[in-house]
Amino acid sequence: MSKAKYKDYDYEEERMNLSKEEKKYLNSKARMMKAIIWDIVEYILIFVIIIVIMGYIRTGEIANFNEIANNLGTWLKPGGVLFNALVGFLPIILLNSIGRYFGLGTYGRMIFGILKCFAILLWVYLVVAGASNSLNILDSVGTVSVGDFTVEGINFGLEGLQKFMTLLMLCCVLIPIGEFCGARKKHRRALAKRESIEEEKAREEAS
Amino acid sequence: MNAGKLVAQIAVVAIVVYFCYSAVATAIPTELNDPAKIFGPEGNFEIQSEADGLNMKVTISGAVHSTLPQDVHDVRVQFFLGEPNMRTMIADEFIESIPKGITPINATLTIPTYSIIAYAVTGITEDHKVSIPMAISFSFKYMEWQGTHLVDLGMTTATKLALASGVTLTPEVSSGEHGTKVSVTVDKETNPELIERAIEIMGEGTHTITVPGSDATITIGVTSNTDSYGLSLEATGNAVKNAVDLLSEKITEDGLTLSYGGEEFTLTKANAEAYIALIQVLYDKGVIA
Repeated sequence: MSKAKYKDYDYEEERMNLSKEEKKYLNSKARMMKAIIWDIVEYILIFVIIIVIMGYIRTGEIANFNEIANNLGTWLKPGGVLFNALVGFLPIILLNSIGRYFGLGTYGRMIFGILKCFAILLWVYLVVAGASNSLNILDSVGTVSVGDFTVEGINFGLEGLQKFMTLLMLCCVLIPIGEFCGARKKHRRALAKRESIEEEKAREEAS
Repeated sequence: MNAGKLVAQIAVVAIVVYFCYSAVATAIPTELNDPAKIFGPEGNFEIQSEADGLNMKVTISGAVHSTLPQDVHDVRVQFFLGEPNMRTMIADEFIESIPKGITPINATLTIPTYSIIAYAVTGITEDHKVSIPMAISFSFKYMEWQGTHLVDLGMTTATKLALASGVTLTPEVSSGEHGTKVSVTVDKETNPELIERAIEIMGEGTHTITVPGSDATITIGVTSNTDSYGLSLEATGNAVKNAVDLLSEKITEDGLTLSYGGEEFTLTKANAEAYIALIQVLYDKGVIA
């Protein structure tokens, strides 16, 4: 029994196990859980970064952690644009991570990808532009003063942005469809391989 | 490597780049090196002020030039006097479009003298200065794209307009029922231009503003001494209510009608509310009879 010293390709190993690449094309609960956790961590980071930026706009300096905690309550008041936008974005993030359960090239992955585009569109229409067709970006911050001069409000009309986002998201629907078409073959191959591995294992156990 | 995804991504990027380019390229001027040439006033603005009843009417005329390739749409400029919760609108100019070239601008500001006097009397600070809070609201639309405008911006800024310094305040006892009176003296040496102009328009003496169908009266007293101006503001109610309550009762959706020198004039609802808030300040500062 001699070990093949220079053998770096184990045919048996390759044949009996799914490679990392092939696993991408199959459904996986572990990948979904990982995606949910990472997405939530990312979401919290974005939350904190927005608060830090807002603090910077308001006072002109990066606030310390205590100040951030104090200001969370006043800036993220329920009903405010920022609060609505951030909370409204959570379902989109969850939709995205749940979609990760499906492997590349499956109908599930494609449908979740398309749904995400429409969810973002719905978010733009209902949450960001829901209250009015203009957005006051100082709504949550209050006023900004420079000496005697005070900026009380900066308004963005959202009509153009809505139309632009509609176009963008409708275009983006193409991406999951393209991905589906491109990965379909590999998905089928990975499925077949998993099946044959299972058959082989069952045969070995039976013998 | 997913060829399908790559093709789809390239298609999306191409579509978006095309739309961005078609929106932006037609709206951005080719020569960006001199901002003053792109948009700005043409020559100097002419400012004229004249008396119009109790108001000071200021006419601004001039022109702006624009070399922007597209028209700037829905330009609106509004001027306000007062704190955020009690604002008097003094001008509201709307220009539908400013095309490429020179566009004449004619704006009219109606500055209510009764309001300026009310500020002069109530807005005094500890260091004997009087200033009026002023706000300018400006908005416009630009960059036409598929029937809408991609740039739709509005901005409200506030500042304080110094009215006079060297002002001393003396609360007085009002002669009327449920009344309050405050008078101030303004040092002439400090050149209180706006107050001088207001006095010029109103003239020295006592001016009484009454409210048709109500007992409330507002009396403005103006005197000019050798080294100072004396201004006084008195508001009186009736046996039961003070002037603030009586004025509030008379506000309707159309506004508030006041009478001065036998002539009636109407303030808009928002302006009337701002004026009543000023009278409330007068009650807070004065000695209530």
